Amino acid sequence: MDQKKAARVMIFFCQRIDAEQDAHRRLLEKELGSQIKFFPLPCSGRIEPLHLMRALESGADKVYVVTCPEGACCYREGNIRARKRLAYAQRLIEEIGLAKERLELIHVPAGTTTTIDTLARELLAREVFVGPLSVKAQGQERQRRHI
Amino acid sequence: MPPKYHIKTEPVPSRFPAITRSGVIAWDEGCLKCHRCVKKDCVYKVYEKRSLEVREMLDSLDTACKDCFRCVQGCPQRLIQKGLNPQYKALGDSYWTPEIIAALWSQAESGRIPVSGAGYGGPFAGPGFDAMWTDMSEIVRPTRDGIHGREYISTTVDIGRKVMALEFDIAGRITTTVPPLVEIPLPIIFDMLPWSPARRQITLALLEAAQALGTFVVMRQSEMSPDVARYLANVILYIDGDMEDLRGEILKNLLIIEIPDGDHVEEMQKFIKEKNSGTLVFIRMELNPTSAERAVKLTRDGAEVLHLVADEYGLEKGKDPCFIKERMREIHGRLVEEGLRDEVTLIASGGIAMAEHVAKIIICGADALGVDIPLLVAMECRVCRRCKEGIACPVELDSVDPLWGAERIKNMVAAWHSQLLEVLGAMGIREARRLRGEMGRAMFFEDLEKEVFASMGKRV
Amino acid sequence: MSCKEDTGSYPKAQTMPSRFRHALGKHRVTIGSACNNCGHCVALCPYGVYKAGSRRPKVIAEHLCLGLSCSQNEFYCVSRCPVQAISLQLNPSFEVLGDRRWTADLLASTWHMAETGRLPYQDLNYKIGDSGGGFDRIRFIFPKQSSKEIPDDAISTAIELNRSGDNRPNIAIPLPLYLGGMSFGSVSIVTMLARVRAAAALGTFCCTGEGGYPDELVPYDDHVITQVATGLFGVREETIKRVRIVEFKYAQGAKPGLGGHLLGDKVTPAVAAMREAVAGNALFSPFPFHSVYSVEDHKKHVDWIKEINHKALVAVKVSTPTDVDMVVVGSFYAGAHIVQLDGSYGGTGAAPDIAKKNIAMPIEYAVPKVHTFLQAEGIRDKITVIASGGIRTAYDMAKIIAMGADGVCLGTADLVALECIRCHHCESGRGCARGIATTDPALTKLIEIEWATQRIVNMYLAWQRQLTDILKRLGMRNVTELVGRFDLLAHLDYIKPDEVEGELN
Repeated sequence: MDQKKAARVMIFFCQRIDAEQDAHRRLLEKELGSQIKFFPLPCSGRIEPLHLMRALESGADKVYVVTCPEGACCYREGNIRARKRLAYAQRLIEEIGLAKERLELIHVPAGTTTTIDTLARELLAREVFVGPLSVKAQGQERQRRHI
Repeated sequence: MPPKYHIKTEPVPSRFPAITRSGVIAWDEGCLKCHRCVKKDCVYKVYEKRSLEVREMLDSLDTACKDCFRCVQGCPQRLIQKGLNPQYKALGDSYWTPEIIAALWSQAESGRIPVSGAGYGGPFAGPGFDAMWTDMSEIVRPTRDGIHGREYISTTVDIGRKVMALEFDIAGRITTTVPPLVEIPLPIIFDMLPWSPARRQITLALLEAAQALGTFVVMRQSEMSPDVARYLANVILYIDGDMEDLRGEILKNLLIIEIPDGDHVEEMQKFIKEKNSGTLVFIRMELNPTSAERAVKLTRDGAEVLHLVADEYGLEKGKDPCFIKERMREIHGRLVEEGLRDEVTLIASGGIAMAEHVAKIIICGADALGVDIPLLVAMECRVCRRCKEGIACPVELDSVDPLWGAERIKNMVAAWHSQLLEVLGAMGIREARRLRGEMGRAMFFEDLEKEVFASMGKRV
Repeated sequence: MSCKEDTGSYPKAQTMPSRFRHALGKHRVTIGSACNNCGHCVALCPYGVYKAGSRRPKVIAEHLCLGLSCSQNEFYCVSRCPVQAISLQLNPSFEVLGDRRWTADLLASTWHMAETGRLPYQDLNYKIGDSGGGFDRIRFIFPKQSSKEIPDDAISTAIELNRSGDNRPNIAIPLPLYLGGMSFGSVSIVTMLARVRAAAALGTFCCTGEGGYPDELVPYDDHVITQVATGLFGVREETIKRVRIVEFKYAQGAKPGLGGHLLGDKVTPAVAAMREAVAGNALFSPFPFHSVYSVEDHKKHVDWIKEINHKALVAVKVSTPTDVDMVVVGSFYAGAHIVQLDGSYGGTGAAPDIAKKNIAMPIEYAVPKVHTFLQAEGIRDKITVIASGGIRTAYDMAKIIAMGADGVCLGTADLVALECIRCHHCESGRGCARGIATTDPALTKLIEIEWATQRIVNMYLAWQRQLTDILKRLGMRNVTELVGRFDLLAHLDYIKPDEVEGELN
């Protein structure tokens, strides 16, 4: 649990999941401070491997990409592209010796409505959780200063 | 002629890329690798000059794109699309709209008037300040030189009580005591911030900017610190504690003290005047339905400056609150009726969000106005009010560099000043003092609607 | 008087598809990998959305797709595709387009009219925008049943421009509209020429703006209005003599009380030569006329023009201040034939945002005020009132006529016909990325003149069609009958649908 508390989580998510995302995520931001960071996207297909790598580099221990349900993307295949990009980034981090679980894709199940804070709490409550990243990076240093 | 007031500006880069209305969604999968890719044809070189801001994960693609849609329309595989940016939608609220915030950012960055082509794209009218238009003159007026060249449009206003007549004794000596008068080169003071992250650095930025611009910052007595000492000539000290705490040193250097309206306001004013008769006293009044009566009474009793304050949405206290513009029109009108208007100075604060509001609130009867939230926005505030809830500021305003902040604020105020000149120039008015209360040179939504649209569909 | 007797018949509409590979539409049509290239969709679609391809059909014109309402039809490709390979959805990029005044729907419907010359059928609102006031809250009250069917060719949309009764020629235009000034420099020569040629084809006029009178326009002299504005750029005796209408520009709606400003980047050698200025230097057009400080001064100027050109009509373009009614009366007594009221929400050139939004009143207020005042003065029949600044659609045009204008003047609509997307960046850098409002040689090449001319013609043919239909539904034979008929309009904020007899539209 201690490890979990110290871990920093970044969540990229498709705006279609929660129209009131900015209001809903505040309580979590207050509770967890710099341990959690949200990045709403116009479409999850907007995410690029670079964004994910940078997220790890800047101090994230775990990065989630949350997409709308498969088949529900208003750009038709944005969430499929997000999956492919994430898989690519996973291969890259594996090459440098990081567990690929540090990057994870979540499709919101079809037919459900949720809010971004409920979803984030579910993700944070998961048992299997990768601990803090042991790699030191420049960006990470800066990020930690703010805690 | 006094020297022309000029605010020197130069571009001051943002610390964070601006959040734009829409984002680019560009995919590579399925790319045909065309010999001549549409991305290379981008007029703005958006795809070539690409960078990522890591703290907020802002891609320069979105920031630099100007929505010409050529790549969207040109890619043979339709791999490029645009989408509305959720972060833009989340900026501010229904009063402090994303459009206002984005426009303030760009003014603070460039110091220039927002200019665009292809007409106006906003709503026909709206509540509050959006329910009035200002006048123009077709022919008789100062030339455009007034704005860009040799002629002079003055934005200076005098703050203080004005004597209407001088009195003399038998020997011909003036017996009238002339109350202190402070001249500010533009009708804007910086008011207390309704909220902000830890304020130490922010306050220094405000003070630095006020000093450079020749205006004032309203500061709470409880927030005074040794850092402020060298800016005392630009401070309006707001008494939120015990007046006895004021040391003679500070009293000597302060030009203006602001006191809250209340039962003891006269005694407080007297107390301050006794310590230093040269100190100008502002009375801070929360606007409410009885403000006009109160303003008349205070003016009769010798008030010098009434600082009339609405909330951050320009609304007064109470149920079914009135908007500041309407209440100011009433207060101004009442003082005119009573023959008191020229004796007292009115400063209006609350809900001033854009340059146009400066001109409009003056037309509605204010001599000058206080600005608050835009000062934060100039330093990249997103009006998310996270600080109010105790959440970290997404743009780290608590650790802002005061000198950088001051430059940004100066830029914004310079752009507002230029826009005030544009409005004055269009109306053919050569000084801001003469704009005050010029309601005949404005057009109000309610009047026009009634005159023009209300009778439609009915045969006459 | 029928327009045909006066000006001959209208040009024909010709299909002029988008210059870009994919036209922007409201809907998105995609063929997935399940497609077996049976070609069924190509054969089914009556709108030409598909074209046969070697591997699978190509979606070549999704903007012509009828959209989800097509599901009622026999030929609905999505359900008729044997392998369910076709998906139809709203185009997500579409919501990024446009603004409150010019919504994505208005842009797309204008593009459709410019492409085909016909009204859009794709579930697009082509009548109003989303500004929440003015035109967008005003509706016509159409009688539920038209008393008698008037044949189309018995309906005239023509207006006369000289109503003064002086001995100058009477000029009639077959549509109650002419095209407003956009100077050489602010737009490319191709754009300028296309507008003038379209005006000529339609039998109406196009104003030069204040950037001079390029020689390329000379063949169309009879359809040019030359502008005398405060900068006097390129104004010469011979240019005044060439034309049938000379326009005095006092102010413009987008920047009332402020002068023009052409940024240095746009002052190319050609522009500089035309304006007798130095290339690369920003050009200010001052405000106001430095020689006009009274109505008497104004009359003196009108007299000069009349003296130089004995046949020309004089138009005066003014903005909409509080006393706009007095301004118009002044212009009338100074001898103007036409007065153009330029409202604050329109304009094409770069202008300070503060001016566009806040200075001077919207045209919807100004026209009724002026009309009523001129009537009270007994001179309404002696002067032609033209409204501009925020007229986006044929419905706006008809509404403002019913509010008291004789006709309208247009600018932005033309640019949209040329696929302007209203990104509002006309002034920055190399100018318009879409090649319309630019003098950059490479960007100018994005537009071909025949294409551009025809697009503008097409759009106005569709407007003429709509205006004719409106008149027909109102039982009118002539657009002049519509002028000042406030009783035919309802503002939704002040009247409930059940208070009116008739259909609100």
